[in-house]
Amino acid sequence: MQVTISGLHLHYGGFAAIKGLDLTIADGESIVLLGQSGCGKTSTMRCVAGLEEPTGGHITIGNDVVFDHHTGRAVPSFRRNVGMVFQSYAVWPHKTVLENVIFPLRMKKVRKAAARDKAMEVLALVGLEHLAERGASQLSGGQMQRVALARSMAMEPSVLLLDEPLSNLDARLREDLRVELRRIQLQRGLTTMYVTHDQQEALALADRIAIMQDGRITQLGTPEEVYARPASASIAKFMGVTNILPVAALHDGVVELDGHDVTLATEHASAAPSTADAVAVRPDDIRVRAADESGTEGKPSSGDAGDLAGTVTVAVYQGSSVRYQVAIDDGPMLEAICPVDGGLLPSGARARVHVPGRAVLVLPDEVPEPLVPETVAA
Amino acid sequence: MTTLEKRPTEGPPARPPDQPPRRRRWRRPRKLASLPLLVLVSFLILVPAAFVLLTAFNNGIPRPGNFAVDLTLEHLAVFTEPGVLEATLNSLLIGISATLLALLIGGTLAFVTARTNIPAKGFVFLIGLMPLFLPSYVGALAWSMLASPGAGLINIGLRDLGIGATLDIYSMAGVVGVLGMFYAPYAFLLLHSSMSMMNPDLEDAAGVHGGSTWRMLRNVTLPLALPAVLGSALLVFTHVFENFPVAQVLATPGQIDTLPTFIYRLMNASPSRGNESAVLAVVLVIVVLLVTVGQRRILARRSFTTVSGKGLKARRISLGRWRLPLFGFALVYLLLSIILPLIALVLTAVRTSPYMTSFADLAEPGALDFGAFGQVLSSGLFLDATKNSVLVAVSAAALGTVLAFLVGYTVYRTRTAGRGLLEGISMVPLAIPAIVLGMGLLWTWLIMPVPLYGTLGVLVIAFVAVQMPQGLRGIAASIQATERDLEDNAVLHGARRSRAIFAITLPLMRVSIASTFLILLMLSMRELTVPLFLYTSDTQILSIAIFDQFENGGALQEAAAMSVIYCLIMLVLSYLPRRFGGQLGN
Amino acid sequence: MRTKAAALTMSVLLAATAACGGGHADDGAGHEQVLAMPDDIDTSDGLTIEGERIADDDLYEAAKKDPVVLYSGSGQKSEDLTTARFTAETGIDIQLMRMPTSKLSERVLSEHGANQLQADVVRVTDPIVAQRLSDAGVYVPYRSPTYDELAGKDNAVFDGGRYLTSYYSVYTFAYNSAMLAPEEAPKTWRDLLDPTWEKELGVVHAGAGGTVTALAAFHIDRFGVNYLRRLGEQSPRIFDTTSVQIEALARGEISAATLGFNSTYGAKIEGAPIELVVPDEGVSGSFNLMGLTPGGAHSAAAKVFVNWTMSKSGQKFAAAQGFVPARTDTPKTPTGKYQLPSADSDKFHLFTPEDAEKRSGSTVRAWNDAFEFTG
Repeated sequence: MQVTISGLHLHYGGFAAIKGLDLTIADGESIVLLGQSGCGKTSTMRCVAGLEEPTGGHITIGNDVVFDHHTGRAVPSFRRNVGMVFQSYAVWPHKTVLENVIFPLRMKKVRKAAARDKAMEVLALVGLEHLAERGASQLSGGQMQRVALARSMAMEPSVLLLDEPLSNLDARLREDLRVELRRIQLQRGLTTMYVTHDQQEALALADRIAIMQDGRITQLGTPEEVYARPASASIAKFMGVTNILPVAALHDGVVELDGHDVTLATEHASAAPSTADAVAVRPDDIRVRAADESGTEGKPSSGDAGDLAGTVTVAVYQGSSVRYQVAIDDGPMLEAICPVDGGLLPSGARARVHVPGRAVLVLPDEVPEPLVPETVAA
Repeated sequence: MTTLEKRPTEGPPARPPDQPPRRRRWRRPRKLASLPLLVLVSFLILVPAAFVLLTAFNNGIPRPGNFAVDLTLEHLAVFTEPGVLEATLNSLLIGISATLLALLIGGTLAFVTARTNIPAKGFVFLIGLMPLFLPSYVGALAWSMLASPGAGLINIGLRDLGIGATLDIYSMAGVVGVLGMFYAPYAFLLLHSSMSMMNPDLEDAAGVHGGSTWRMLRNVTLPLALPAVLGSALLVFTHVFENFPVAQVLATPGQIDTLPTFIYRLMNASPSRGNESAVLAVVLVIVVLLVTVGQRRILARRSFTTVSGKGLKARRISLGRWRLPLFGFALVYLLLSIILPLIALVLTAVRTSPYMTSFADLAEPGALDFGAFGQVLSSGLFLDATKNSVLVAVSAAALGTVLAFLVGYTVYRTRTAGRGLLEGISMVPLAIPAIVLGMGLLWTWLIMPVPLYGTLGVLVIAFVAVQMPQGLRGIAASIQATERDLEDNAVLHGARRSRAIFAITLPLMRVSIASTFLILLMLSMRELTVPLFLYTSDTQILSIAIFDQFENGGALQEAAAMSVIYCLIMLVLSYLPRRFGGQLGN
Repeated sequence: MRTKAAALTMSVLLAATAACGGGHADDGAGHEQVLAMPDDIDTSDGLTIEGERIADDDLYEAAKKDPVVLYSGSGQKSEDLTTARFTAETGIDIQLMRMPTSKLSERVLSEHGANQLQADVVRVTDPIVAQRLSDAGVYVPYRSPTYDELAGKDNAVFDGGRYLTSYYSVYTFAYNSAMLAPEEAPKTWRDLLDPTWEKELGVVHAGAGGTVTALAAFHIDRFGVNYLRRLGEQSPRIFDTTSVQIEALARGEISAATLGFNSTYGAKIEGAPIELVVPDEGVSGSFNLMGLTPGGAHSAAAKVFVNWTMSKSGQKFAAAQGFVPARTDTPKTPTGKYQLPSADSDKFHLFTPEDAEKRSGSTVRAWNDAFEFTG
């Protein structure tokens, strides 16, 4: 079901956890709230679930207003038909796996036999039907997570909420389950809200990502959009862009870096925001080649503001790619990830670094308040 | 303590079965790590118990100078005495009823203070705690003054108001009511501690998945509180079962015999029938041991780890329209357990004549004399007794908490052999009526070459021994609920085990350690029956002084005055640990 | 840190209370109410009271140095009064530890067996217990100045002088004078059988101690076993100790009770609305026996205590409290407005040690039967 959040505020004890948040989740859509701890993402989720009472705003699930500060309406969580998978799984240790999963059905007064069938069906979906009679306290982390998921799915929720569902698992399991989660969500058409601080997870699971910083959404867009066009330097950093460089001046598509005698070309000059604070360049977009053997010291060719010379300081072989750290002459440290077939440069080698204009994003440090929703700033 | 440093977290990971175990290298026997503790606890508890056991089957009482072992079975004939069966049944009935009542009161108060939005939560917490500082003896005395059928203050009041009903506290209902009321704090503290530590997600999950508040309580909160519930039920039952003072004051006048009063009477008979009392005591031990074993079995099967490393506060449940009724319940409990008894004590202390037909008598000139308090306060007996009480109580509580932690850690956190035995031994004092244990302790410390008899030291040792079970229970539920991983984590990061315990486990358990210390402090201040045999004229403590004044001196007025002052002292004492513990606990 | 803070607060509290009125209250200050102090106490050469020599010079000087430690199974109040009087008359300090006789004997035998007996003088109310103590060596022979005179009588001195009768306890009955007018009150033992007193009486069960066994034996001897049965049919409240019973009587829980004279009298003079009755049919008597311990035999103060107890002054004070003195050559002293029979009167039914040995068990059993009392 569609979920609409408007004007959500949450204050406690003088601290504002959520500051005027607006978000609409379409039916069957998967939204990921992405942000660092303390940004208010979990609080937002708990407000939707009914576990926190907001201090202002309006929430509807489907056609039901579950919270409205003006009218004072607040539907308790057990009536919202919202499923939730907690970070700690919250699988009840004193019950069996089946008893855990069947709980919401029993609460809905589904007859025992029918409830059992449904529970087993959902357990099969997560691959745990053989553990139905096992005590829940005897499960591994991954199994518990799946039980929690099955439990929420068994109730056929209007919305499924997942709070950092994979953060307690080891990396390998995390990747596998990530795929599982996405598959089940798509297969069932579940309206889902995830909360996570892991951008990879967000990219994998989301139809849209909502970046949250300091209690508000600073960018909302598809994973591709957010990945390719973060709205601010801080968001870019969060998304894994390691080359964030402060800007001294910007004119006519040329960026002068602050504190360095280096210029870069950018193709995004026309869309640059009024406050050009920094540039962000993905390591993947930077090309590093060996300096010419002809001995020319890599002076930038005319007109090409992104052609730089520097020295490789670190080269990390990653199998199909190489990660370089290059110290640009009179310039900053740049990180680049290049395919290996370009040749492996050793540490200390002289190199030529090409920063294509299309890869140079000019961004403000932070997204200014208030944000205009649904548009993406470049 | 060296024991802890030697112990590893777990054994090494299981070797594949086809590998032969290594025998070449001699490892320090890990299995004996619990030995020093075992020896200490055995000595403290088993030696007196052994004396009691011996006495049951011995000709003559094993007294120093009279120490002949001459076994016989003839004392078993006491079971054929007509009153014994009735006394046993009464004890069981009272035990079960009072335990249920105590759990109901204590559990409700624990729940509302730990998990809900009840008004004046701190105050309600105090209400749940306060009866602890009113010793059950004093409480029973006060209720006797309030509701004795002929001259009870409430009955006089009812007569004054023209209401024909009469309360008779000298009845089953009266005994169960008073016992339930005054043992509720035990249940309260243990359950509160358990509920405060519960992972709120578990309850939130129930809420989210369609469980109303009531369903959530039934399906999640209460079952998870089971270790604490069972633990406190066991504790309260055995306390009630073997309680002597309340039975003596309230049940005996109603001609209701219980096992402890029966035993007391046998021991006080002239000539003393100590052997037969010891036989009955042995029966008590067996009963309670069975109960303890059963409880361990039940709990061993389920892992109830609820405290994770998240440090989240337990969720507050909104009580809605139940807010005021439940607060009212707490107030009624306060009235019955503290306010009315104190009023009765004060009134009795300041009345110049013990006889009163109506409250109007109090208005007569000279009917009240508040000087009684001054007299008591300035008496040498009172001052000495107070000083002794405080010294002994604080020492015993501190030592007892430390010992309880060491034992609790060994029993619930390690896999050394003998830890089951350690727990069993630690629980033994519960099953031995304090009066009989007191006798055993008397003989033990008379015979010991260590010159502790006649000093406060022997009282401290006796209290530590007798209160092992409470200390252990207080620590146990908390240790069971705290994840091992947190401490193991520290060890893996290079901390020695003892350091890990100090840095990780102890702070995590600070709420329960503080409440354990508090419980032991209260118990030591209240302890009446054990020191009854161990005190000498210069090591009197307050509880004895009060009992003595009444039981042996018939000086109800002095006893009442002392009781009031005693309660005030207990109030102060109970405030301090709570305040510091509370700071730690939040 | 918690404990330090607690201790600190306690110390402050104690200091405050001590400041309110320090020192030791004289718990037995009422002794002058019981009987006026003797006029004639001469301490110039040893101790002489009313012309009777209690201690010679050496003994008296030595006695002033250490207190006497008295373990007693006799009533608390009366011992408080007695000990206070002793100190007042002799100037010697005395420490009292009071416990019911059966517990006391346990304690004494244990301490003695471990060579840790702290008592100098032990006083018990049960002749069987006294003999047991004597057999165990707790009592050692001693001759007070009045020894020869006492030895000549029956039931005064025992076991070669190891223990003697300090005085006799009397058991009778009493009623609450605020509830009952004198005309309504019971006056004789037989009165107690009147249906008016059904469920209004209190008794202490016969197995509780020598004094009550003595009363039961007296009833059987004087009125026959049927008396007990009929008294049992009155459904009285059964108590374990006299002191609790006295308190219940004073409060009005019961209207009348059979009880020990001296402790009840002590409560009366402190203001309890109780009237005692010395019925014409007679009263029962039991022993208050005392002796010196091995420690006491070396304590000058203890010896003075025994001497004083058996002196005219000591015996007079006992009588004034409501005991029957062991000595029959002291002038008859009333107890307030009451006059108890003397030891050689026929109204005084003494339960002798032989009686105790032979009949205690059967008496208690008969009583238990009559009152349907178990245990």
